Amino acid sequence: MESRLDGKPKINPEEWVNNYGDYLYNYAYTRVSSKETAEDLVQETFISGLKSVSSFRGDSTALTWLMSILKRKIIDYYRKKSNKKEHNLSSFSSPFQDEEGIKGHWILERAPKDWQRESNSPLREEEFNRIMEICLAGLPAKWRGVFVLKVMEELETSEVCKEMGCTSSNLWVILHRARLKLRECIENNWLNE
Amino acid sequence: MLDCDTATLLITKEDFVKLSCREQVQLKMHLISCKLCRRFKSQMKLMDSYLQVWHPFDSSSKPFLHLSNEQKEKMKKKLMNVNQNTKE
Repeated sequence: MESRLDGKPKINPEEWVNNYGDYLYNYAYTRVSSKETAEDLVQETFISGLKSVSSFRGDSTALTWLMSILKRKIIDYYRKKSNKKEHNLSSFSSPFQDEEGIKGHWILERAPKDWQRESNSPLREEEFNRIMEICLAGLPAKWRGVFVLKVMEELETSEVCKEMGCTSSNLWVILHRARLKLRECIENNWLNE
Repeated sequence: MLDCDTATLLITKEDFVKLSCREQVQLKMHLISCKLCRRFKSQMKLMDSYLQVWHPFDSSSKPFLHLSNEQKEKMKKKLMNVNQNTKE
C-alpha cells in the first residue's frame, strides 16, 4: 500500500494488517503486558484508522499515523484502568522498615543485592526482556500505567497526572513504588534462576 | 539525615525534575555513607539502560511477538465490515 494517500486513495486495510500488524502488536504488548489486550488495541487502531482515513494528510507515513492512534489508545486504556478500584495494592509491602527508630531503613532481606557478585554473568538483553515482561505484568494497573506513560511513553508529567488522576507529588511516589517493586522482581527473577 | 525510603524517592525524582539545592545536598550526603542506596542508584541506571533498548521500539526493531495468521485474518475480516470515511 502506498504510504502517502493522495487523490482518491485505494485503501487496502489488508496490507495494513500484513505490513504493520506485528509491529503494532509488539509495541502494544510491551506497554500493556497482556497479549489479549494488545490484540484488542491493535484491532481498534486499525478500525479507527480506517474510519478516519480521510483525515490522514499523508504528512507522515501510514505507520507513524497508525502508531499515534495506538499510543492514544494505550493512554485511554490506562486512564480507564486507573478509574477502577484496585484490590491488590496492598500486596506489595514497602521494603523499608516501618518501626519507630529504624523507620525508612532498608529491610535487609529485601535490600539491593550485589548484582555483579551474585550473578554468573551480566544480564543479557533477551533475559532482561523476558524478566521485564514478567515484572511489568506484576505491577498493579495504576502503577503500571504511571510507569508506562511516564517512563516508556515519555509523556509530560502534567499529562500523566491528568490521565491517571494524580498530583505530581503522587506521581513521584507511585513511580518510586513501581520502580522498587520492579527492582525487587528483576532481582528475584534474575538471581534466583 | 535522609532515610533510605526518602533517598530512593529522590533518586527516582531527580531523573525527571531538578531537585532543590537542599534535596541535592541531602541526597549526596546520604549516598556517601549508604552502600545500599548507592547500589539502588546504579541498579536503576542499569534498568533504565536496558529499557532504552527495549521500549522505544523504533522501525528498526524486530518484532519478537507475532500475530498468527488466524489473528490476522480475523482482523482483516473486521476491517472489511467498517465503512470507510472517504467523503472528501
